[in-house]
Amino acid sequence: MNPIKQRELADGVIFNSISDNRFKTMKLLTNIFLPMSEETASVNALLCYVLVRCCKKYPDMIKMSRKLGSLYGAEVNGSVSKMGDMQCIKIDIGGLSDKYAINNENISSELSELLCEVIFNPKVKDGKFDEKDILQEKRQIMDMIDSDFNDKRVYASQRLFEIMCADEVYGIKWCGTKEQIEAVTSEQLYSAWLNMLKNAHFEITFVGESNPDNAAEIIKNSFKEIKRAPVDLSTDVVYSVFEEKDVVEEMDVAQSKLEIGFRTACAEPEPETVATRLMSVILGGTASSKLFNNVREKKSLCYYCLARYQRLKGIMFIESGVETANIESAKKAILAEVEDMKNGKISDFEINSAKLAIINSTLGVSDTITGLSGWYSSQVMDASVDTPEEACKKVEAVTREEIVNAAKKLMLDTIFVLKAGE
Amino acid sequence: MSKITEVKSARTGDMYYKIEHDSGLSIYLYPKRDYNSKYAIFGTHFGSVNNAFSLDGGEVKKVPDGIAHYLEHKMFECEDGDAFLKYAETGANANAYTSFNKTCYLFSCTENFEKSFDILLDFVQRPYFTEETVAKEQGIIGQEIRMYDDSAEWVVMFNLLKEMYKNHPVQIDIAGTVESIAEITPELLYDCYYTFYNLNNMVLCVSGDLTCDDVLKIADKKLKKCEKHDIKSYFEEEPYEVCSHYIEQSFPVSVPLFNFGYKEKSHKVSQKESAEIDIIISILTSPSFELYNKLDEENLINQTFDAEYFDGQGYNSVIFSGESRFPKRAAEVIKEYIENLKQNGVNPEDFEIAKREVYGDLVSSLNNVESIANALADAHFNESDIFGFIDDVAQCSADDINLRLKNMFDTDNTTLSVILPDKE
Repeated sequence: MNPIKQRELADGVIFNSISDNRFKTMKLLTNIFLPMSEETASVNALLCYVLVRCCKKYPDMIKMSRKLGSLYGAEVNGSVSKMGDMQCIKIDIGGLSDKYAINNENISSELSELLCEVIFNPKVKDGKFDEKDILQEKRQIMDMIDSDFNDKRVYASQRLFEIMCADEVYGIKWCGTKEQIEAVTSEQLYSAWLNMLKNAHFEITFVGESNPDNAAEIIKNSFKEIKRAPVDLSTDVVYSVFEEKDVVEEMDVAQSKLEIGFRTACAEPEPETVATRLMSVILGGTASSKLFNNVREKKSLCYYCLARYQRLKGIMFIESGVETANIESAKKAILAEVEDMKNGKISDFEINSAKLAIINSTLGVSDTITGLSGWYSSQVMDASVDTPEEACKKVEAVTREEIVNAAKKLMLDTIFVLKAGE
Repeated sequence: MSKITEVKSARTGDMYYKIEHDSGLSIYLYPKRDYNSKYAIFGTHFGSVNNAFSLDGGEVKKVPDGIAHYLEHKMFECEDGDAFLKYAETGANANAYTSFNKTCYLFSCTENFEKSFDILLDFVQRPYFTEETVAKEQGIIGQEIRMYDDSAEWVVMFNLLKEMYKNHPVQIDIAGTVESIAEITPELLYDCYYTFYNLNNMVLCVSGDLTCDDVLKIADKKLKKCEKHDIKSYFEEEPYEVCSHYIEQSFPVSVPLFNFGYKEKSHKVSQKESAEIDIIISILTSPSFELYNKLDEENLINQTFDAEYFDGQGYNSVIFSGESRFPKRAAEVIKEYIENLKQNGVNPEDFEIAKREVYGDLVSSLNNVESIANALADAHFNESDIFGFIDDVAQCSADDINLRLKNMFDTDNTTLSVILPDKE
């Protein structure tokens, strides 16, 4: 693998390229960042899915899909997520490396062009997107919202964030509400598209063995006529808890879900995020963690019990699935483990195994195209961009004292229980 | 001495080693130069369906439902401590799973491969069960079963299997039930262990920047030679017909789900047949073709729509799945379309695109050490070869597909399973 090369193709349009001949595929990943807001969340989310559905050159789903299929099952994917207080529209295109084409097609250059067709040349007419396409993609997003409710684990964790961050931008769902999606008009979608081209921050990453210059050139040309005024990337971090929230919701399910949210008083770009992450992994990130060993293995209270840290927003959350009769004992057992962390009751074994686990998974990032492209695009809001090796060195250097300090800053914010019938 | 064979693929430029180890174990090594990641999977051909079996022609033993999965959990507990805690000292990410047909133990790592590999080979060959340790697992697996009880996707599938299969144990939940696992004892676990965890019934697949010596250095030391035995699994006779054509259940969901299955006569699927089936499934589920677009335009499916060929010892079927507001209508459209396709044959251009889609997917999957080793393990138990499979896809013709279609999809032998939202 060669080191990452970075260049700016236009104001706020960053092109990263990694030449790597180990893979049988190539990928061009575009991360488009816009500020999250109540007013724009739904229109931007819908825009993403309408853009990847089809374009002027391949004006319906079947034509688009057949073009990709004939390029040996190449794929265009769109997805929308939150990164801190930014909404991230992800559009990626990927397919086989040229040398595996049975009929010698130049797959990578066709795909670079197709990506630009999708972003810059959508099926618009008279300042509007196609009504039928919009209707279909609205239906898909509404089904996605509904299907989040189908999965009770996903639902419970979404509820935690809704309750915990009710007064923050971060509490907005990635696509807004069903009502907002329903209400989007084709004109609004068109202005959202123009706004995106003009104001969004673009982070484009190319991974593959062919020369990235061709792709960079095509993208650069596409931005030529656009007058750019890119937004800043920023996130509000909450450093105190005004009032602990405790919410119980009853539902006719078999297993209760327990979700506990903490403020960590530490977020990017502060350097202590490395220690805070390590602290969360010691607590509940592996099969040798405190939660797995003590709450699952020793007390047999649950099948899963884990902790996750969101370093952009400064939140750590713990989740578990338990018998209704055991909700209180599980809560007690989990909070006791958190207290132990704060009091420095952490063994060397726990620290070292967590460090090893993080290092092992981090070094593996460079072995998949998705891992590699995601690694760099996930650091756009960080103080510095690290290679996987640099990130490992930082983890290794964390001391016991720093871990305990990170734990001491934890503030319980919200407990959400999805309560099953007894 | 172990016998080492090189298996090469001209089409992808890759190769792997097949090692027939002295101990009786089949080992596969797929080298990936310049990868940090290494992955190993150690599996036995023992899954949830193998609940009645005999050894060397002896008496047939019937064991409680869910025992293969229970055994998987208990293997991690060793006399000298928990295997997860041993892995914690190497940093490897370890896991295990039980499916209908196999139980697999695996880890991925970038550092300390030797130590982790040693741990894997060690604990899977050293069972240790006591009354106390076995009892402890009831609570944990009980919660795992409860978690799946709330999974609409899981329930819609098992409802389908229950209506498609009258006697075959594929209709029983892989983890069993809270009641069935209460019957599990250390003796029963040992019985299953010594029957199915014989190295001749197992496979070990490794991928990463490794040589045969790296693998054999530890394998030679750790693998204990096993005598080959005759293991037989017993299944009650299964009628050709499905039990019923429709089942529905209400659930706390907001978007309805469906599984729609075509039951087939049980048979062993050849590699060539499997390649043809993959292309057929692509034609029936990819947005590049008519059926997907017809269903989408009528608002009958969304992007979750998919299908799989579902087969194993004693069962074969094709199962369509997805979310749908109108599952009955979706099943009708699928049926009609397939009937027409069987009569008129596939459009040659469709066939070519579908073949490319399947081919591209297969070659892409060789990027990743995990998917490679998993595919090698599956291929071993199916007696096929991953490179031969790619060649079979590339060489498949539209005539092959049309012929295959004639022997599939009996419109009169289908079941539709639906999960409907609770009424307010």
